Amino acid sequence: MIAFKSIGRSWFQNIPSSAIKQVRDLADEYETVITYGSSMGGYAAIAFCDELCADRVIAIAPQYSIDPDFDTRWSKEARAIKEWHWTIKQGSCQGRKVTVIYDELMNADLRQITHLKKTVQPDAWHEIHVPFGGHTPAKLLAETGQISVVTSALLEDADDVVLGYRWSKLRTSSTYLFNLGAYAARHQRYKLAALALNRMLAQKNHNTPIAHNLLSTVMIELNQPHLAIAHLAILTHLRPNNTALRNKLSRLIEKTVH
Amino acid sequence: MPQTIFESRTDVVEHVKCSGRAKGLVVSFTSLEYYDLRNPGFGADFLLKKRL
Repeated sequence: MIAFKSIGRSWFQNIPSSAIKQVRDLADEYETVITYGSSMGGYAAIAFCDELCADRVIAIAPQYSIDPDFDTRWSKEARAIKEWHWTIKQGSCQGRKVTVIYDELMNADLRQITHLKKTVQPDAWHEIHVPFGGHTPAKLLAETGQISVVTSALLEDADDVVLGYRWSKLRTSSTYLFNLGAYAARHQRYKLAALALNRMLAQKNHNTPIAHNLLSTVMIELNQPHLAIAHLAILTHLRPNNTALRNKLSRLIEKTVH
Repeated sequence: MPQTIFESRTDVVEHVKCSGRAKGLVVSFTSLEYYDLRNPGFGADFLLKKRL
């Protein structure tokens, strides 16, 4: 196995051609070469597959582009990259099998995959949908005990990979609960959103600011301003230097009291 | 033990050999340590034991 590990979140743009050549020479000794990665790594798995003469690509929630005009999630990283040496070109992945794992309910990732699909021309394109996996479907698969089975099946080139969700696992998966809550909130299903997000926060070590932020909004929609204040107060405690947040909390307290 | 092929301020490339002759090579690109195939949750055991 060869592991490319990014320390600087530079989308592997600083990898010199000499290193790629070294890896390609090593790869020549094997019957099958598979590139694999998640998110930025998924981008690289596609971008480098031709250079590395890979037979197959497994890309989890990959990007087509992180240009801030296209997707704002990685604006800071995109601005720090001065030059793009390794890109996904029109017609790349020809003759290779590409498997993409993602959550089609996540609009931002769906947009990336839609553009990728139009750009690359693999021999075969397979998609595995992981509902409520958000941008980290592999994390959901890991939390529900399926990652080894799925990874092994893909590495062995299985045609069909069937995901087997079990409620006993889902109910404790913070990834599932958060993405279900966010999806429900986007679709004005506020009671469901509150249920999922509260269940997520009840998990050990999942006192995440983003869930409190979303819950504060959901509680306002459910006409529960005191609970909204409680979540905003926790959020302010978790992010003590955020003045905008502190002001928002003050305004909400004032509005609720009066 | 992983053998370092390349190392810079922003990236590291390592070669992890398994015992015996492997038919397949996985080239893994990781954005987070969590997704590294060598993480036991991500099929490393499969890679190293079954030798593709």
